[in-house]
Amino acid sequence: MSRFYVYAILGEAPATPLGSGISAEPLTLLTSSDLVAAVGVMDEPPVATREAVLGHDAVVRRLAEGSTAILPTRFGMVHEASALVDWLATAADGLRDALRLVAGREQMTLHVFEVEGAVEDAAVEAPEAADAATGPGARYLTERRRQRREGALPELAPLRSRLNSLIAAERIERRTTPPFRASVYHLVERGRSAAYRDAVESHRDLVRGVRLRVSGPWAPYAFAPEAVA
Amino acid sequence: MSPRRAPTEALLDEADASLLDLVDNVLTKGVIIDGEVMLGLAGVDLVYLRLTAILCAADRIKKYLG
Amino acid sequence: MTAAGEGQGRRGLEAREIDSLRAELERRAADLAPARWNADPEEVQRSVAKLVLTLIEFLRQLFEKQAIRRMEEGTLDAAQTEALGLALMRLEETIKDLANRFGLTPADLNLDLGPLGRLK
Repeated sequence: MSRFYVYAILGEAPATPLGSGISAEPLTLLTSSDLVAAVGVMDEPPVATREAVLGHDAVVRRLAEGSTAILPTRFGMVHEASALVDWLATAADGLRDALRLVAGREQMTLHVFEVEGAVEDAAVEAPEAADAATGPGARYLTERRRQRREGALPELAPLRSRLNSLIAAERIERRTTPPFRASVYHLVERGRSAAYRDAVESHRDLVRGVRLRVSGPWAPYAFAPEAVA
Repeated sequence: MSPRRAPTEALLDEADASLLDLVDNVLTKGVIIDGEVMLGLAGVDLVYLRLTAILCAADRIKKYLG
Repeated sequence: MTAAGEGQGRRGLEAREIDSLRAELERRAADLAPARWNADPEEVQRSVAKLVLTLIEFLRQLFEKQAIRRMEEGTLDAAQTEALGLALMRLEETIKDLANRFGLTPADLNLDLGPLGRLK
């Protein structure tokens, strides 16, 4: 029984030719109701070599050129056809939500590094004014909501407000190896990546205590469906 | 299934900044299909977990459960 | 879409920064499928505690996210909001206390659960 390597989930068949995959295998489409998986026949999981990872992203970019909404997959796994079809049916709602979010958009990545010797400004945010009638439990939830929105990277607030009009969604990954502080993934409209870079460049000085590095555009790898739909 | 640590290490050792960005996307992000987790003790894999269901918010699933 | 070019200086990365990016990826990319968690035989108690607390922390974050969403949507009454908030607050404290007892930091309670994603 053949196994498949999946490159991306799409909302429709791409308008461009599919081409070949990382093992020079011809790509084909596997459909499950309104969802489409772009796959190649592959019996063994690929080894993560430089060529293979570059190839995976190259396939994703090519598919993205031919379709408005694409969810790239993670490198490395092959699946039985039946398992893949079952999974597509189970994950359908989450995939549809994610496809809707990423339609017509691409990802810009911002890596945030702490500057050596930077003085840690006590970024004290006043908690949202609590109404006299709310108890400690409700205040706790309100404060946690505020923290989730802020993303607990208050240093980036001045830059964020300048980027707001360009950003459709944001994901943050905290890092644990100094000076690497976090990676921020932004979803921007396709074609606006240059405007995003310009905005980061011109407002770089507003951000104290950290250094930023922009990369992109990428297909929306960081915007895969969340664990809980 | 053979471990893929060695090639990944080799890949990362050689990687320049832009390849590292690509690796960040391709190896640590992206949709995971029908994932598996292997739990073990003392180097011995003991429990295999196949995750074919995505967790769902309770208020959204209740309409299906009736 | 075109890949980003690299520059030095202000926009490029210092060696230290590249090393830290590499170190982070080594941690994350180490396990391809299946994701593996294996208790360290030297410190079984601590390892098992770490897995258990990580899973509970994962649930806490899931609960918190759903509670906030329901609060925003208005599908919780005042009593439910208060009760949930208090329970989550206590859960957070409990997890911190237990983690402390096993010499675990918040960064330790961070496991790649494959499709369930990373916690932080």
